[in-house]
Amino acid sequence: MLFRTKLFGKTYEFKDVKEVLAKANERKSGDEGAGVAAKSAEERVAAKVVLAEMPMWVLRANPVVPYEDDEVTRVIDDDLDAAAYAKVKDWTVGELRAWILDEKTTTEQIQAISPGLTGEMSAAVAKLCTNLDLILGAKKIPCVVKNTCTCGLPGRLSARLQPNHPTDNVDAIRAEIYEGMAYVQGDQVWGINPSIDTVENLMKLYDMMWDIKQKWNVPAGICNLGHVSTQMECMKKGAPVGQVFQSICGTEGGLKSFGVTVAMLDEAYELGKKHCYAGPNFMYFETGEGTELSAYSHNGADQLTLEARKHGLARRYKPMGVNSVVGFIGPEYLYDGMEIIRAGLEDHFCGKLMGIPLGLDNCYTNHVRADQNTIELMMAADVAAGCNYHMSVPLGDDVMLSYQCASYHDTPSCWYTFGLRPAPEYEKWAEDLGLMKDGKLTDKAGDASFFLKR
Amino acid sequence: MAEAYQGKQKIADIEARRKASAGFTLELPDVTTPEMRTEPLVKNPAEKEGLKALIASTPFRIGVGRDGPRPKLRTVFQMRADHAATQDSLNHILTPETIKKMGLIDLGETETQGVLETYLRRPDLGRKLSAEAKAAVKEKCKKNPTVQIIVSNGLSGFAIERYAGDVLKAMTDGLKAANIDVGTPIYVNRGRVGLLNEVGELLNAEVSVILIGERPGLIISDALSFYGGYKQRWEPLTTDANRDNICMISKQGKDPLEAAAEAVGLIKDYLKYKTSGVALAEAKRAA
Repeated sequence: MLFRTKLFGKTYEFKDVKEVLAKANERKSGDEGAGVAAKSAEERVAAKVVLAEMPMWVLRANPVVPYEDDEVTRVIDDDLDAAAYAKVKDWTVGELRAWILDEKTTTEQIQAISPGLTGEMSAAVAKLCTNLDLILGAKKIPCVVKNTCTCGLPGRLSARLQPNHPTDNVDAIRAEIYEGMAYVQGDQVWGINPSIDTVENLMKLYDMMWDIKQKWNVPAGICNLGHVSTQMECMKKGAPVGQVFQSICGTEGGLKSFGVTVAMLDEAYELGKKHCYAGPNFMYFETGEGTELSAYSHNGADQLTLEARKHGLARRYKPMGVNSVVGFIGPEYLYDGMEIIRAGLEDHFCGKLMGIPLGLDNCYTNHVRADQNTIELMMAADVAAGCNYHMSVPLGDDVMLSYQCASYHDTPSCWYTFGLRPAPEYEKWAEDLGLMKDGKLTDKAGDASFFLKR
Repeated sequence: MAEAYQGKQKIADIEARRKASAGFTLELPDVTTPEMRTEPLVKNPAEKEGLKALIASTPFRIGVGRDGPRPKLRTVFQMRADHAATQDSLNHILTPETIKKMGLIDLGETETQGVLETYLRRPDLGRKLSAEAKAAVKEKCKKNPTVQIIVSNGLSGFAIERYAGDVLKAMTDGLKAANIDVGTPIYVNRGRVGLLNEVGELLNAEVSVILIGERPGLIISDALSFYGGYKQRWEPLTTDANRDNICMISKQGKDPLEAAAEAVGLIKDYLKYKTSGVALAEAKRAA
């Protein structure tokens, strides 16, 4: 193999596909920490020039972790749709980008090639895209899914209600759910991050959510974001589960660090088919650039490529939602607002290109160079790109997870700004209760005590 | 050049307006008090007392009402103030006088050279002393100490400014009372917990401990952490699994004197069992 080009008369050479992919990535502190990033801004451009001419079949033949060594690679490659792959296999990465952006290329045409793409391919395209390329490209590829609500429809923007508490206090979480319902949040999923991951505790939280759902007849998919094995135990005990959650990784080693295998996810999927009270989509995954590096299982690959491989794994389970928790793990992976915004747009684009329903958890910790203004700007950018959903937390301050993200107020703000609405089933529920009218919140909305009446 | 625009109004009218405003005052209450944080801001709530109870049930910021779909300014200011506290704490660099007053030898910088961006992007560089600091350790510190104490602002300068002095004094007094040899306590700007290995190896310390500023939170922005371990070295490598942590030392968290007493207890255990971290917990269970 030979990958070589010149820039300003200087020669740049890369030893393999993985190095080209890593060095073509936009600057991320995590890639620098891993020692895989371009050594200079010029070398980054040289790598992009080389990547643009690489055909899809070379990317397929050289995954960043070999087929023999990694079950995630095996799942993605085995699940590839032969007909879809045949259409694109001789295209270069640059040609695929141009084709996606072309006015004549339709949504249906892009959706037809999606099942033939691996994570390496979608990540490669993203590396050649500017931010507005990523927005325009993703906007052409809506991904519609259905659990209790139909999400991802053009003209709609959903939210994951995220009512957490440091010790899983049931009254506190109920109060946060009431406040969220009052802002018509939660059409994507009601998802609690439990701090105590036991069957007993999760059963208590499922029951509390189910009670509210029944009392107010809410089309809510309820979910506890405990370990998938705990949720499986709960399903076996008959818990009212709307969606089954797991954090996933782009390598086998990364999955292992989460205590997860493909077999375990397969089992959860089969169990969910029988037990979940809504569908056909019921799996919920979270991802985030940098998880493999933090588990020492990145295998010399860059963050974005590994992220896109998670989308390839997620695709196997026809998920209801997949969101990147972009900005959560700190400045040693994504340094500042610009790196976070870029990573969010890339993750969203890659996921949509691979045909899965991407949402984003736009977030930051207090030692990242970002603040609430960053998150609001980022939200505007990825709503423009057609993002399915965001996290929704009271004022964006998650006291339990110790980070800040999007808020109950931010989703309606984006509905108004971009002419969007919640999922149709949820909008109807809110209209019937008098909380929404003509796509706007009414005077009754925003008052948690409204839900003390029943 | 043309003459500047002269205006159409009489100067006397301008002065009169200015004079009329001289007596205007704004004397405003503190928006960060618990009372201000828990007051319901919803216009015409369905159940006023019920809403208060909901607010009281959770530390999350609910019952805040809205201006259109946006938050009201009071809650915006509270969020901004809390975040501002985290940023001021993160950015705070201790003065040489403060370091000296705590009885610490100022060693200077890690390999991040005091550049915050480098410190945040590259945690590995915060675990290594700069060449100058390495030379200073060898020159100024007692070799082969039983206990070596390191202090660093890390991600929160306020944590050191407010609590490290008290913890350090109580800890040192406790160790001396138990006749445990304490080396020369040192200060390093923008360090990471891994300095335990760096300094432990350079000085051949039996036990190394560090008092370091934690990542600031919106509720507690000035928390201090204690990390300690037995024979902390690069070779063979010791990691967090070989260390113990006492966290959230702050006025709103764990009491500094209590934390110091706990730290002394841990150090005594290290010396008794000749290990630390997960292995210490196992050794104590076996004993």
